[in-house]
Parts: sequence; structure tokens; C-alpha cells
Amino acid sequence: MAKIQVGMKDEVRKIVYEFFSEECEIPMEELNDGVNIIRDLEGDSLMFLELLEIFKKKYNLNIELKTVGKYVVKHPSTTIGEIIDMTMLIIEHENRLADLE
Amino acid sequence: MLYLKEKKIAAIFPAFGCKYLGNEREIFGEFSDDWMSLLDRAAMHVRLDTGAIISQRKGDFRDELQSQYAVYLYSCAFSNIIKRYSIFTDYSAGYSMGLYAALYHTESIDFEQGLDLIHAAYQHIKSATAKFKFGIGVISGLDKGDVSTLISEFSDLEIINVNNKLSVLIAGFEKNVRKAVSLAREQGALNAHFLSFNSPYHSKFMNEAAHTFNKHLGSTVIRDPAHPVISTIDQRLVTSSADIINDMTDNICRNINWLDTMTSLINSGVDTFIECGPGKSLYKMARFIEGEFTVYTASTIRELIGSEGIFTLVRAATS
Repeated sequence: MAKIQVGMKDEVRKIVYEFFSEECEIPMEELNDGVNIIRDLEGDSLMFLELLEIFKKKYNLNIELKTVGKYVVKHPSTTIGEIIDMTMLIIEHENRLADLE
Repeated sequence: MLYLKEKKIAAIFPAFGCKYLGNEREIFGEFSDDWMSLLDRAAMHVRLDTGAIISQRKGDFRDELQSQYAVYLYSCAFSNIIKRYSIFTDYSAGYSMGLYAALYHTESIDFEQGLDLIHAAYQHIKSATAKFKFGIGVISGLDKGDVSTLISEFSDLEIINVNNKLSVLIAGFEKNVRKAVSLAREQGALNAHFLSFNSPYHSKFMNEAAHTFNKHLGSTVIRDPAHPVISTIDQRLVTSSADIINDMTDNICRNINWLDTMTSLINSGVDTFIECGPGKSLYKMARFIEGEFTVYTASTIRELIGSEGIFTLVRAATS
């Protein structure tokens, strides 16, 4: 399991915000944690997959997409804030995410 | 001033069902009036629901045939624009029915012929599949091997396309596609859903449609392409009118593989793709395809036209 470093959540937040701003062509200042990815940004699941790939590379994570998929079925993430929180869980637990309730 | 071509470029054409940006007409309008003139020509040639085409800015068409006409119209307009700005493409490839626009781009068919071919293929497909309820599902987040195992218990289901390393399409009887989609979610697919298409394109259920469509093609004049089209079925280079007829026929009933098609182009030296059509569905698929390349779309057409080093002396042919 990866150790969560000080400032890591801010780093994750910055990457997530920049990603959605660029992909959805929305100014950063119009985004907030409550923005719904599908409804408000017309985003799609491939965006989430791409974000996961970004974080897998950045933090050298040992996580299978299937593990995340199974977790998401139980704990859907629909807003930017929820995606940030889930990303932090993925970084912290990697494939042991499957053991979380 | 002319510049020597420095890059290999491929024009790629999306299929119907893609999500539009919503402002394609304004973007295209900055460069030419091709979209409007092609709309007029299409309206004179086929039964076109111009009201729907003008109002459905996001591409949410209810009617599959109108949706196909629309994406073809946008794609041909985009093709005209890049030719007007003397952007030469070395290869073309069409995702599913995007093949018709690819053939327009390579000057194998003219605009009206493309409309006729889309209409004919649609009629043959509808006729051949009218007796049963079929469907298509998309599964993302599982690899092809996982999906193959998952659908192995359904004899009718097949993988009809590999979009990229993380996304495949399956087709077969509607009830089994729905079951497989549900199973995929249980097995950890981050996205699995049933698409609103009624026909099992690119599957064995299309054999009869392909046969009758091929007969129709016998009476159609197809010209050799101005540059190679890459087949999405087996990634061979299609360079003659006879090859084109075979590829159009196979495109109805055989599985396609977009990942292999893009990879083959990249391995051939292509580092610039131009997604000639509405939206950016192929750009999105390409995120999960390995290689160093750029995909330009309608939203980045200004950058494409403003970039130096990819211009040549190719005449604009906008038949």
C-alpha cells in the first residue's frame, strides 16, 4: 500500500481539475467538487479510465481496473469531489481496495 | 507559400452514434460553406430530415438512417475543408459506416453515391435482421480476453469490434447482449451498457445482408482510391475499386478491429490523425492506443489548419 504523503490530496485535486477542465473545455474556475461529471460536464467513463491510467503511472500503482470497477459498482462516484476521494482510496489501498466495504 | 510534407497523415472517419460537440457547423463555417451546400445536395438526393439534422446539434438522432446521413454529411464537409487548405492525407480509414466518408475522401465515390450506398446498406441490413431483436453492447474496463470468456456461454454473441485495449463492442440477440452487459458490470467493467442500435452490425447475422449488398455494388461505379484506405477488418491496404467492393461487403458482416487499424497506421509511420467528422469519439478511443501521435478533431481544426509542415500541392477535389 502506498503511503499518503502530505500535500498528495492537493496534487490529486489539481490533476483532476486540470484534466476535466481540458477534456471538457470548461474553465477551471467553473469547476467545483460538486460538479457532476456525466450530467454537468457531459463526461464519460473513458475519462475516468484515462484518469486512472494517469494516476497509475504517476504513483506507480498496483491496481487492476477490474478491482476499481467492482468497487465503483458498490460506491458510485459521480462528482469531481467523489472522484478525488476515490482516487485517494485507490492510491492508499491499491488492489486491496477490493477488501474495503 | 508551400511547405514540404514532413509527417504521414491519416484521415479517420467516425460512425453514427458518436456524440457531437454541438458547434461543428459554426467551426466548419469559419472555413467554408461546404456543410450547407452538402446539406442542400443531400436534401435533393435522399429523403433527408433536414429539420432533425439542423436541430440535433449533439447528434441525438432517433432514426438510425438519418443519423448515418448526418455523420456522413459532417464528415464529407470536413474532408472538403482539409482539401481546400491543401492538407494531404496518406491514408484513410473509416470506423464502421465511416467507411463511406473515407471513400468519398479518397475520391472513390462522389457525395451522392455515398448517400445511396448508406441507404442501400441500411435497407439490406434491416431486411436481413427483421425477424429477431438484436443489439450491441459496449464494455469498457475489461480486456478482450476477459470479454471473450464472458460471452463464451452465449453462442450468438461475438466481439464485433475492439475499440482500444480497454473497450470492445459485442453484438447478438438483444436479451443475451443485455445479460452479457450485466455480467460485465459484475466482473468489474467500469462501463458496460446496451447501445440504442437495432442491428448487429459487423456480425455473422449480417451475412445475408452482405450478400445482397454485394449484388447491389455490382451495379455501382467505384473508382480506384486516390490514396490507400486501410481495411478495418484485416488491416490490408485497399488500393483498387475491386478491393473497395470487397471491403464494403465485408464491412457489413465481418468483425472489425479499430485498435489494430490504428496500430497498423502508426506502425506505417503515421503520426498525425485527422478525425474528419462530428465530435471526437475516435480521439477519445485513441487515448488507449499506444504510440506517439496527435489526433486533430473538429474542435482543433484551427490548430490543424494553422500548423506548418503538413501542406502539399494536392488539388482540392470536392466532388
